[in-house]
Amino acid sequence: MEINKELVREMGALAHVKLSEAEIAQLEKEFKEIFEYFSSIKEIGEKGESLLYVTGTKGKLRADEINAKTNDEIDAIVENFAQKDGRLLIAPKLLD
Amino acid sequence: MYYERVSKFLDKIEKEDTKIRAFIEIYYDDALAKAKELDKKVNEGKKLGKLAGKAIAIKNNIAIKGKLLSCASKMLENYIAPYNAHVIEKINAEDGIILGSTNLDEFACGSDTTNSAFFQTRNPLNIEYVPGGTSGGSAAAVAANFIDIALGSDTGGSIRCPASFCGVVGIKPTYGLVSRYGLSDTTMSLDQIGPITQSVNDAKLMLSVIAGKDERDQTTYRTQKMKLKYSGKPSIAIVKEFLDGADEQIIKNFHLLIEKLNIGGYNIKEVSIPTIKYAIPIYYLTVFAEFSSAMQKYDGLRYGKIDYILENINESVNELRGDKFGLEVKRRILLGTYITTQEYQKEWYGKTLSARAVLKKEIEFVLSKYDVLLGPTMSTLPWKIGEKSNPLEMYLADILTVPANLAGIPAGSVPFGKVGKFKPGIQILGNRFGEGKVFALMEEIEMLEVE
Repeated sequence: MEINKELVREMGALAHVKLSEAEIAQLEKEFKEIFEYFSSIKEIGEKGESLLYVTGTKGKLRADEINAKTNDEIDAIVENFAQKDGRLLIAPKLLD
Repeated sequence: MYYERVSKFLDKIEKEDTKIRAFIEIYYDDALAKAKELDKKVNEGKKLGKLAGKAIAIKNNIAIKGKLLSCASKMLENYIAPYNAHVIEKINAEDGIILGSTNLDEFACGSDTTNSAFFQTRNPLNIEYVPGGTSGGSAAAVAANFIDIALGSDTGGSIRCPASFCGVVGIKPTYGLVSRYGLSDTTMSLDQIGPITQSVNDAKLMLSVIAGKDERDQTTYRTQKMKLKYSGKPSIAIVKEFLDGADEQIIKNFHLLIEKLNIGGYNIKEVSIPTIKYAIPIYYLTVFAEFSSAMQKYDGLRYGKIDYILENINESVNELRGDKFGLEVKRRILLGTYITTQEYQKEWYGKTLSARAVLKKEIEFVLSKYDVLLGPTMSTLPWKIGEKSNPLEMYLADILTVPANLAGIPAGSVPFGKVGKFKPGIQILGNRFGEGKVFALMEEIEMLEVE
């Protein structure tokens, strides 16, 4: 796949990151350089296991119980909301 | 007595941090109140914790309840942590005194703390130079004698690089030893929290406090697995690839160390870990994939009190993330998005996972024959502020530190010798939960005299 401005723009849209034209031009150049260097990874043998667990053990599941927060903790979380109505988070409209 | 000690530290910070800029916030009132509380405990004859009176600073990607948790990003410039990280609970319980939060590269993306959205931290050994990164503020605060101990986080060298550049001690613990609950995650399969200190002894002390099982981080183990005490001379393997491409001065300093260790009667052999030459692509492709996913939660709704103007949610989020994230953060998000798309996932991310398994096996094989691996921490001395701006060049600077994260093993950095004003770090890597042997060699190197 060729790295070009269109691809950078597409990735920006997929990742929800608005980019300026200057940023797109700069990233195109840098991505070409980065992928050229990183393609050396393909020299490593084709077959083999994948590293999915760093520690070699799978995580254990917690008991299926509600870990109740105190009112103070909830207030502290709500306090960080950009816009709120009491304890409700106000978000932009999803549907018209 | 603690009150006077902490006041002295705070005075020094107030006078000198205008030049170094290690701190994002200084907690004058809280630190003095805690010191007073400890003095009262002493007067009442009560028992004090293991960290009693130690002056501590915390990298600003670790949550301290009620304090700004900015990750040095505009995205979180108003975000107040609603709870304490596991490591903060531990420090508080052991009577450590937290003096402030320190600067970092935005969301821990970088190698020299120039990517902080707020300001540049300078290297106390020479203020024209970078302190290393991403825990640059933590290492600079220790090197400037503003504090005794700092906490940093290390995804691919973010504790060891600044420790090496600032001439102090740092250790990235075994993956799974310290709970990341309350750490802003960047790459969950690599991140670890660890200490940056003046002495190896303080690093040991802090690690003994913060290590241990935490139900809120499922990768953690019980501390009994870690043996901090080791008496004896660990057998040493020098990894040939660690010296490939290193600066002449770094190699010269390293050879001087080897001479000293030989005289000291250490068993030292040279080995090869061929896949290390692919460590940078393996590491960064892992980071891109996990980081782009970790950053998805920053939509401006739940974090950071950012007001929306636009009606449409997609446009709002795109605009906000474009506006608030710095370029390196955007770069990594986009690269991660690319390599995990259905079309390219197998070719890039899939390949990365199997390459990481190969590298991990090679490292584990050598560590089954030797107690520790030894090499320089960084292949270069610190560079001047503004000297490096090309992203690939910056990524390549991490070549010696990323293997430990990819393998999930402990790695410490301890200063040795002198090159100009700098005291380059020596890196020691051990087996999983082999911190004892790593510390033993770090202590030996710390005591070596250099003419």
